[in-house]
Amino acid sequence: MSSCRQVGRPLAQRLLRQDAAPLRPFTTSSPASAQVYKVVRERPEGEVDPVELDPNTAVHPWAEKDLWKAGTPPIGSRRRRYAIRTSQNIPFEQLPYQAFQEARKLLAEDREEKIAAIKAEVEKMRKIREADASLFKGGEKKREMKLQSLRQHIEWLKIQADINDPCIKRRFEDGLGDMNKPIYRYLAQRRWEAYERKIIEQRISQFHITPDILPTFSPQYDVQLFFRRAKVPAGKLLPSDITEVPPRLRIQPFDAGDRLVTIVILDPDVPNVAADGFTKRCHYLAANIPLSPTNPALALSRLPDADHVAVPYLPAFAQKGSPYHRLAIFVLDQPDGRPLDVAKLRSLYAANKTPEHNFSLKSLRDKFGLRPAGFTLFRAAWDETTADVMRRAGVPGADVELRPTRVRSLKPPKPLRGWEAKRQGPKYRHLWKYTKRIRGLSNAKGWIIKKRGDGGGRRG
Amino acid sequence: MRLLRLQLPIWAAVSGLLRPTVSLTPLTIAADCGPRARGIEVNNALVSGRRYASVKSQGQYKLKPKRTIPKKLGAKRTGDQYVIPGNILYKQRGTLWWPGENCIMGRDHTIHAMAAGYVKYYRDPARHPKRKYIGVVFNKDDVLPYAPHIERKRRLGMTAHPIVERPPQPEVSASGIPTTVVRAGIAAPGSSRKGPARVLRLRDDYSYREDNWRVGRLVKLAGVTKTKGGRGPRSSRRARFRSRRWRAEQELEARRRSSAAMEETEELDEWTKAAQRRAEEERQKKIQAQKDKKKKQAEQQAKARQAAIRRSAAKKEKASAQGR
Repeated sequence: MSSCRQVGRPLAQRLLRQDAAPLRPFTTSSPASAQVYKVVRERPEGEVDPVELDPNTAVHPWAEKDLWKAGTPPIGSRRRRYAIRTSQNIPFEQLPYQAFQEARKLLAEDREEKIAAIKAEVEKMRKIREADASLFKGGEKKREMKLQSLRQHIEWLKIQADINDPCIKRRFEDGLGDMNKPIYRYLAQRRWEAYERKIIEQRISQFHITPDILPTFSPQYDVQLFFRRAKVPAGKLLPSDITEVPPRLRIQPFDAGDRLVTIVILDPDVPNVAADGFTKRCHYLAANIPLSPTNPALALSRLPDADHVAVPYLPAFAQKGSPYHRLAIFVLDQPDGRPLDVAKLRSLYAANKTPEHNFSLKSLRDKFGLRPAGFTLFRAAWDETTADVMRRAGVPGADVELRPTRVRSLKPPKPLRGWEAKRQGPKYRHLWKYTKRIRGLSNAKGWIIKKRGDGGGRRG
Repeated sequence: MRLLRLQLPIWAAVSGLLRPTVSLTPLTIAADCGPRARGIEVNNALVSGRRYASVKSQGQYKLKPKRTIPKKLGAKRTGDQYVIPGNILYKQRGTLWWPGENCIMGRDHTIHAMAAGYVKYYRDPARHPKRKYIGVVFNKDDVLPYAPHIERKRRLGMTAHPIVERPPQPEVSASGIPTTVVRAGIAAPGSSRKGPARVLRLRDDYSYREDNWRVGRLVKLAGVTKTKGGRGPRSSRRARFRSRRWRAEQELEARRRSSAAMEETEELDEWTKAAQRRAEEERQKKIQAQKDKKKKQAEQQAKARQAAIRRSAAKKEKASAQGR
């Protein structure tokens, strides 16, 4: 909104709702206290006005917090909610702007056209379906192709019928869109592809998720990650105590229908000192999780263990000195929505936690015919809390530190030369106080701490 | 004029072609003045052998200049040679070669190895159609580039050691002075919020100093970056220095105040008091002496000035008397 319109807006609102609140005359005096927007930080005593706790009209921080907790977050900006509360509350469709109403008429006409087109297409489909396959040049296959293309066209028409409707756009932007309807799924997908999908694709390439975990992968679902109420951007380095509890996920598919998914959390950076390399470890594996576009929320800690969880959550940890660990979270579609055998998964993957056992998502995918569809990740590194987390999880190795292996130079050692080298021996004992001990490490400056226990090698 | 000069060679060529005929007709030469006549002159110069070298001859281009320092560029490790991290594989001007698998490029485009292994020189059309790469592989038999979509080959390059807990530093050192001193943080200029406490540690030379890593952390708190520093995003260099001076003064002032407070609280013996009094008297005396000196100088200067004025007045008078 341009600044001049912003300036003009309160005035316009005033003019619109003259009977709601009388228009204040232009004076130089300060406005009445009731008209000034005032943030109340403290919860008022006693009975609370229901207007305060309506998601459309809640403005106070405490009320917003309550609504978030209740699962009905406040709608739109605080400024808008305040405007709704103090205005006459005309329904959006009836806003008295001439251009708006004329445009709505045009859009309604367009929608009628689209619906007529859909009806025509459906009729066409019916005719094709009823016709004999021999009438088509390519036979049954050609007929199926025709039907498929018609179906696609109908889907496109359905979206085109609603795509320009301001009411739909408004509802979508308020987060009130019904994900059962194709138009809202379409809008959500478009929004996801505009930014978040790009981010996640970048994470996949920059953290080498492909080809380290999967040869190729293109995400289909929007997956958001939450640890202890806080949303975590993909790839964030998290403290170990935060990631000790299983995360919450918000998995948003953009195609209609219910499905069953498998969720895998794996760490592809488990150091294997014996083999001088890295292996992969499964931190979590749960299958047969129902998912649909309308209920995307999924708390891993609340999944019933017996039905779904094959590998219970193992907190993310990184041994001291090891490079950061990527914890990749994959959502895999199960084939045709058929359930997997959790007992079999358990027998295959539950026990294998040592570095020698290499978990492979590729093999899991191929064994059960899964399709990777969603992805997010976080990272773990050693911090002050990791040792405790490992102890609580019963993981050994908290007392072991990884240090880089010294790579010796390829050059042969050279004999020492020079005045000092010549005078290192006992023949020149009388000069020892002037010569540096160049053979081996010199501790002339006291830089080498000989005994760690004794005052840290410091004087004083 | 410029156009003429540009046309000179053309004229030369044309006149060269025409010469056998044109030279026979002096009439035309006389008629066409200027350019053509000059062209003939140039052509004659060419014929007479006055030629300025603009192209080297006889393999001169192959000869290298002999008075320069050799840059010693080129490959330092051949293909399949074993290298360790940090080894220089190729020195070059510009990017004749690019860093591939397990290699990095230095500031002067030098290619270094980043892993222990065997050097491979290769091309990777999938990555770039024209670039040549130098890579290091762990197995000598491997061929670069690796097939796409296969897992990266990685080495850990680490060994496991038990973690040794450092014993905590004693609070009081062997000589009985504390090993750490915590100084309360002071408020930043223009804000009432106090900064973090400063932890000073006892050093080898019995001085108390902040750890360097703690000093480094302060930068983050001050909001100082490469471009903006000191007192906010748009402060100039002058403002930064002003604030630095201000802070230094503030610190000095605080130190002075604290020492004064300490002195007040301390019980002084009479000798110290006497010494202090004497020092103070001497300081006052010194100040007084300086003042006196300045005063004397000023007086002398004033006298001299007066004398000069008087002299000049007398001179003028004398001159005017003579004039009469």
